[in-house]
Parts: sequence; C-alpha cells; structure tokens
Amino acid sequence: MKRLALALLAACAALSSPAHADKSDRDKPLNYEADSGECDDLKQVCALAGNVVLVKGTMRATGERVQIRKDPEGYQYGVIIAPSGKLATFRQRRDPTKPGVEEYIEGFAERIEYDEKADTVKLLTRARVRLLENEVQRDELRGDAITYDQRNSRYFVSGGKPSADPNNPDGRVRGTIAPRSSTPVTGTPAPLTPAADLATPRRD
Amino acid sequence: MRDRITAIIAVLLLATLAGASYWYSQVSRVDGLAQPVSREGPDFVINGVTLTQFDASGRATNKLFAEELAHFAADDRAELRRPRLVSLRPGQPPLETRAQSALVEGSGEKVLLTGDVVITRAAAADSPPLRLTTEKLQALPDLERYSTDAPVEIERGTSTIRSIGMDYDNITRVVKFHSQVRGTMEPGKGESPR
Repeated sequence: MKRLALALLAACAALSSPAHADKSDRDKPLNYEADSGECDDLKQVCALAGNVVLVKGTMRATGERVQIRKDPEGYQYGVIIAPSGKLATFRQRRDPTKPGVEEYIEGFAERIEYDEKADTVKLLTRARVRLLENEVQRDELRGDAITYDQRNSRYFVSGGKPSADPNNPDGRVRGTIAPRSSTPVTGTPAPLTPAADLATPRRD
Repeated sequence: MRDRITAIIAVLLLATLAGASYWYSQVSRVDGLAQPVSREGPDFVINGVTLTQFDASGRATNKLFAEELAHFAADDRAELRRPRLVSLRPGQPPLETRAQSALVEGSGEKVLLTGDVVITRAAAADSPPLRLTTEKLQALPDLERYSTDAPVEIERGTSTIRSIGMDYDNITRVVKFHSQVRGTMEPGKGESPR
C-alpha cells in the first residue's frame, strides 16, 4: 500500500553536541550587497534584488531577492529568496566546543527566513541543513521545512510534497547523523553527494 | 511792424523747442526698445539671497538661501552659488539641501544641484536622522523628489547604504537604489534598514 502521507515527521533532532550559533554574531553589523534595492522609510523595510549577499559576523546568506527589516526593538529580520531553479544559502559558525575544531552550519532552501528575535533560521521548500566539522560534513538533514533553533541548537524538520523529487516522491524527511568520536575530524573535505542508499526509496 | 516780427520769431522758437523736446522724448523711448535685456549675461545678480515660497494657504513651503543669485531673462533660469534649500512640511522635520552650486529652472520647479550635495533631515518620532551625500542631484522641490545617477551615500541613524544612482520620494519616503548597492545595518535599538 502506498504511503500517502505528506509525512509530517516533525522530527526533533539534536544533531550534535549542544554547541550554539556563534553568539558574538548578534552584536555584529549586518552588511549587505545587491544589484539594486528599494527602502521604505515608513515601513522600515529594504527590498534587495540581484545576487544579494548578507554577512553578519560569521553568518553569511545568499539569494536573488532579500527583504531585510529591523523592528523598533532593534531586532533584525531577513527573508532570502533563491534564484529561479536554485537554492538560497545560509552558513554560520557555531560556538567552538572542541579545540582545533571549527563547526559550521550550512543550510539550503528555496526560501530562508532569519528571525533574530526568535533566534531561528527557517529553511522552506527543498530544505537541507548540514553540519561541517573543519569543512568535513558530519550530519545532514533534508525536508520540506527545517527550523533551526539557534538558541538551543535544535532542528525541527517536516517533510512535504513541495520538496519531493523522483528519488523521494513523498518528500519525506531524510537525514544522516555521523557517529560521535572524541577525535576531531581531519582531512580534506568530502565531496557532497547524495547517499547511495537513498537512491531507491523504501516502499511499504 | 517790428513788434509783429518779434512775436512771430518768439512763437517759432517756442514751436521749435516743443518739437525738439517731443523728438527727444520719442528718440529716447525708441532707444530703450532697441536695447532690450542682454541675451547672454544675467539681467540681475543678487548677493545674499533669501527666498520663501508659499502655498495657496499662505504656508511657507520652501526657503532658499544663497550667497549669490544670477538671473537670466532669456530662459528665466537662475544660477545660485552655495545654495541652501529648506523644504517644510507640516508634521515632519524640515529637509535641508545644500550644494556648491545650483541651477534653477521653471521658476523653481526643477533644481540641479552640483558639488558636495548634502541633504539632511533631523530625527522624527518615527525615524532617525537622515543624511544623504552625492556630487550631483536633481531636485523637484514641489514634488519633493530627488534623484541622481552618481554615487550616493545615505546614513540613517547608525545604518548606512551606498549605491550608484538613486531616486528618493520624500512624500512616500521610498528610496530606490539603482545599482551596486552596499549597506550596513548596525545592531541595536532605534534604527531600521538603511
């Protein structure tokens, strides 16, 4: 019998040791670049377009169209839309926990929402998050929507049809969590390829 | 008989005088018309100018100050040295524009500012102070529109944005940045993007 579920798995996966997003990023200015822009002084919103790059401390995000705003309390918000057929990107360093190990979170989706007040990064449609240790991928999660709770370093993942592809027709959540070892990961970064086992999805 | 001749001479002399003075008056009038206002140079130059523009209800809308104003009758344009234009709108902080020089056309409808152009707006309840700098700027004071195709920098509170080319509408308060946009938004309270 075919599984019809839009498969809301709502997995709550703590991918790693309780490292947090780099807290010092909060106090850094948000720098941005774009081909063009439009700012509304009354609504206090800027819409940027064309090869947009946002940088805030160790955080970096790219997309085709970006809306940024700041609320009266001073919290910053960003909505990043991918170029047609591509994905918007997000990357941020995590607070160091082990000496000699640099951890980065990387995210990809058609739409990325950054909310400084809630301390979350939402990746929507064809969402993918991976954890890098010294640029080597350790954990990976895919789904229709991934919410990364920066405060508690937790991920909330749900699946859904919009993110389905021929290899995953129901758009179910998929993930890889590497075994934890005490020795830091070294060596050259592995090329990012889809897991071979996931090429033919399981059928019930 | 001699008396009569004397009288005739006197009348002729008077008539000649009257005729001559009439001729002179006509000639001087025609000379004035033959030399109208200069086509090339200014028809008047004023040092230390203050001009105030009022709307229909008598409210001052624009105040213009300049070190020197030269007016050209041929096309009714005015050239200003070191102008300073203050736009006043009720309920909003005044917008002040300064430059090295300005060309005013169409009785002030269109102003082209060049050299060290600076626009400043004081802080208001709903917005932090604003400062715009560029090398040239076209202003339509009645419509409160400002535009440039030159590099421009806008500081708003602690946020800064730079671009090449810009349109700013002070009524809708929307700025459009044409190309090569780069900006910084400082963290903390009280500011918004830009």
